[in-house]
Amino acid sequence: MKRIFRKYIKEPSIQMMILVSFSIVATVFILLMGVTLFNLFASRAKQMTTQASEQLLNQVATNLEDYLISVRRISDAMYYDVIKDKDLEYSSINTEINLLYEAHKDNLVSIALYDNTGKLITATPVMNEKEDLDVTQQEWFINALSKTENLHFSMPHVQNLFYDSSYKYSWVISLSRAVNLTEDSTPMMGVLLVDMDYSSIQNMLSRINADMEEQYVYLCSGNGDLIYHPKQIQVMTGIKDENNYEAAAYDDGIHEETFNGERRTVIVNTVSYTGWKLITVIPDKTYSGGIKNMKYFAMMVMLMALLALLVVNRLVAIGIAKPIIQLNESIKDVENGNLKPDVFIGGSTEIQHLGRTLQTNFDQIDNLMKTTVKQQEEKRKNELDALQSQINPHFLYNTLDSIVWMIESGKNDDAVFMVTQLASLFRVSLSRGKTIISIDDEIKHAQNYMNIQKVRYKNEFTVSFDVDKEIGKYCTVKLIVQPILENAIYYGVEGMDGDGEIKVSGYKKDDDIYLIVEDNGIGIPKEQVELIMKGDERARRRGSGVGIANVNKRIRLRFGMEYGIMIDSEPDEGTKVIIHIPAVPYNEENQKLMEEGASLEEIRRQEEKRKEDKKDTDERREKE
Amino acid sequence: MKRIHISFYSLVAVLLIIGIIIFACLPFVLNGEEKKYKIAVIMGSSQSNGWDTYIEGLFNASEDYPSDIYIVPTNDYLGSDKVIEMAQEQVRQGADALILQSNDGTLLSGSLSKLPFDIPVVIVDGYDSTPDMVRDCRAFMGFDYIAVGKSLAGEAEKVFSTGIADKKIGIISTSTKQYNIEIMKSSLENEIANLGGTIAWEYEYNGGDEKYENLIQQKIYKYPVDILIALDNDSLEAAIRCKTDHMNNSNIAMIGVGTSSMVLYHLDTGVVDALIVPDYFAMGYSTVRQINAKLEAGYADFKDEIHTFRIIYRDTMFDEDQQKYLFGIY
Repeated sequence: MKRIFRKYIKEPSIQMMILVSFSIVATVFILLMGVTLFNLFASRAKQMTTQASEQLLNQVATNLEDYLISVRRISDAMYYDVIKDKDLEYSSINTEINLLYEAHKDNLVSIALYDNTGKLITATPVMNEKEDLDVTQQEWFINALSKTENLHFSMPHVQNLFYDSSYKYSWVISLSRAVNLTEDSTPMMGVLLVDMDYSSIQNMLSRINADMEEQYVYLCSGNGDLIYHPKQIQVMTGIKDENNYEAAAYDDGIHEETFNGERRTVIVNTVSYTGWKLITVIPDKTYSGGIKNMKYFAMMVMLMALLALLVVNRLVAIGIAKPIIQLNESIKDVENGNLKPDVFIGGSTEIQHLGRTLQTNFDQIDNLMKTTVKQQEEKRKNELDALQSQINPHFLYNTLDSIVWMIESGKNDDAVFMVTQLASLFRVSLSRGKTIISIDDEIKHAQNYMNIQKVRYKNEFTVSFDVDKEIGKYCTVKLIVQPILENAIYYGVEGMDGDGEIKVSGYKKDDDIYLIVEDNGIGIPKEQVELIMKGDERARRRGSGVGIANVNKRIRLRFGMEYGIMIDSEPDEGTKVIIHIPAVPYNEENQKLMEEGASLEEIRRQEEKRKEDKKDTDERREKE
Repeated sequence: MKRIHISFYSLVAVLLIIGIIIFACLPFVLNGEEKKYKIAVIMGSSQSNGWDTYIEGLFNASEDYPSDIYIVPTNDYLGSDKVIEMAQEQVRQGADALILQSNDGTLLSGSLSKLPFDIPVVIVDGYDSTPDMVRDCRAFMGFDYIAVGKSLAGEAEKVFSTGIADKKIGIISTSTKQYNIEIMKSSLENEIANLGGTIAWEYEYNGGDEKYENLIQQKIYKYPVDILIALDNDSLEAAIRCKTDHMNNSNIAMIGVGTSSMVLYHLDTGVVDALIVPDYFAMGYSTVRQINAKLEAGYADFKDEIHTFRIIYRDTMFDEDQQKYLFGIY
C-alpha cells in the first residue's frame, strides 16, 4: 500500500499526472455543465408547463364563462322575452318555457317560475311538486329576492323541488333572479329559477382533468367552498385534503405554495359573473415526473461524455508521455552502463530536440572518451618510447664499454665517476615509475647524460647549464631535455673537434617556463625541422630515435597544445630548441594531480586554494 | 505499473458503461404501466341496489389506488360454500385479492382456510371471533350492528308520540343467518323488549317465485302490525313496494336500513319514517385502500374496520351535510 501510495500518489508518472488532471477537469466541467443545463432545462420545462397550464386554465375559464353566459341568456330570454310583458293570468308561458327547456335540456334540469310567496307558477319539465315544501326557505329564493338587481348562482346542491318517479335526485346549480311579474294586471315580484345540471360543469372539468396526470383543476366559490373537485367525495369525507380556502384567497395568477409537505404551483383564475375560482394545482412532482426521463437521458449523456473523455484523455496522456517515457528508457540505458545508447528521437518537437541533443551529447562523450583513451594510450606509448630510449642498449653498451676501458686502464676514478653518473641517470630515468619530476631532477638527468657523453666524446664539445634556480622546484615531464641534448650532439656539434658548444638554460616568465638547448652546430634545414617536429620517419635519426617529436608530443599531451617544442635553426650557425612548459610548482599534491591526468586549470585552482588556506592559517597563528 | 493502469482504466470504463446501460434502460423499466391489482368481489345479490353505494366506493378508491375491480354477477342468495367456490375460481383466474360476502354468515375460519393464505380477503358485513384464525391477510368490514339494532328500536319509539309500548312490530330481513342481520336483529329485539314493544312477527325472505312484497303483504294482512322494520335494503324496498302498491300507503310506520335511491325517494315522500344509512361508500373506499396497502407491502397491517352510520329523516335529508352523505357527487 505504501509502495502504491509512493509510486502513484507521491511520485506519479507524467502519464498519470496528465490523465488525472485532465480527467478531473473534464469530470468537473461535464458535471457542472450537465447540472447547469439540466437545471436550466428543468426550470424552462416547469415554466412552459406552468404557462401551458395557465393558458389551459384561461381557456377552461372562458368555456365555463361561456356556459354560464349561455345559461344566463336562457334566464334572460325567459324573463325578457317571455315573462316580462305577459299577464300571467291571461297568458300562458308554458309553450315558451318548454321550448326554451327543450332547446337546452342537455344542460338543464328544470326551469321554474315562482311568485314571491313561493307558489309555483309554472315549471318544466312537468313534475310533481313536493308537498309541504317551502321554497322561500331555500337559499336560491332568498338570494334572488334579497338582491333583486343581480343574478345569483348557487352552490351545487340536490334539487329539492319536485318528485321524480324514477327516484332520480339531481345535483344542480341554481341560477335565480328576481323578476317582475304581472298577474291580472297586478305587478308583483317573482323568482325565475333555472336549475343547471351540475354534471355539465362536472363533465367539462372532468374531461380537462382526464388529460392530466399529476396536476388537476378544481372549481370553488369565492370563499373557497368546493363546487367541483376531481376527488370531491374524498375531500368531502375527509379522506383527502385540499387547500381550497387559502387558494380562493389568492389573486389571479401563478402562486407557489406548500401543502401537506408538498411543493406545488397554484394558478388561480376568477370566473366572471359568479366570482368562482378556477384553480389549477400543479404538484412539483409533475415536473419531476415529466423530466424524469430527461434526467436519465442527461445522466446517460454525461456518462457517455465522461467515457469518451476518459478514452481521449488516456490517448492524449499516452501520446504526450510515451515519447518522454521512451526517452527516459534511453537514459536508463545509459545508467545501466550503455555508453553509446540509441536515444529515442520522436514525439513532439521539443521531445525530438531533447532526444537529438542527448544523442549528440552521448556521441560527444563517446568521442571524447575515445580521444582521451587514445591520448592516454599515446602518452603511454611515448613515455614508454622515451623510457626505452634511456635504456638504449647502444648507449648503455658504449657507456659500459667506456667504463671497462677505464677500469682496465686503471682510471678507476673516472670509472667511478661514469658509474655514478650512469646510476644517477637511470635513477632519474626510472624515477620510480613517475612521469612528472622536478626541473631540478630533469636538469640533473641532463647533466648526468652530458657528463657521460663528454667522456665518451672525449670532450669534443663543451656544455654549460645556466638554469635559474627558482625554476628547479617546478614540475616537468621527465626526459625532455636529454633527447634534445642527444640531438644537439648527434646533429649539431659532433665532429666539430672541440669547438662545439651546447648551452642549456632555463627561466621562468609569468606562468611559463622555458628550457633552452642551444648549440653552435651545423644547424638543421628547415625541411628537416618540419619533419622532425612531425616525427616523420624521413627525419634523420640516430641514437634512441625518439627525439624531439616525442618530447614535443609528450609535453603537449601532458600540458596542452599551447606548450611544446620550438626549433630555431640556421644551417651552419646552430640550433636553438626551446622547451615551453607551464610553471606548476613541484609538490606532492601537484605531482599527484598531474600523474592522474588532471587539467592544468584544475591543478592551478587547487594550488591557489592551498595558498589561500595556508595564508588563512598563518594569519590565525599570527593573531594567536 | 502499466498493467495496473490498464486495470484501473478498464474498471472505470466498465463502471461508466454499466452506468450508461442502466440509465438507458431506466425509462423503460420505471415508466412501464402502473401495476393494477385485480380485486374480485363476490357478494350475494351483487346487482341489487343496496350495494350501489359500496360499489361506488370501491371504484372511487380504485382511481386513487390503481386496481381492477371485478364484480362477480350474482342475483340470488349466496351461501358461504358457493362464495368460497367462486372465490377459488377467481384466484385461479388471477385475482390478487378478494372481497366476499355471504348470505348465510358462515364465512368463518374454517371455510376461509380453503383460500390461499397470502391472498388478502375482506369479508363484508361479517365477523369471526375464532381466535385461531390466521388474520394476516383477513379483515372484516362492517358496522356496529348492535348500535344499528338499538337505533332502529329507538326510531320506532319516536314514530309514535306514545312510544312503542303498545305497538306491534314486524321485522323483515332477507337472511337471518347473515352475520350482520343476526346481530342487528338480536340487538333490535332486546331494545324493543326494553322499550316495552311487542314483536308480532319476524319474516325472513329466502327467495322463491313469490315476490317479497306480496309475502309481506300477506303477512301483514294475517298479522297486522303498527311498525314495520326492515333490516336490509332489499327488505326495505320490498316493504316500500308493499306499502305503496298494495296497501294504499297505509299508516304503517316504516323504518329500515337502506342506501338505495328508491328508499331515499320514499323517505323523501314520507313512506319511510326514518332511515338508517350505513356509510357503505367509506367502507368500499377503505376496503380497496387496505387491500392495496397489503399488496404493496406484505407487512402492512390488515385490520378489521367498523364504519359509521347515520339516521336520516325526511326534513333533514337535504341539509348540506346530509345531501353530500346521501347523494355524494361521484
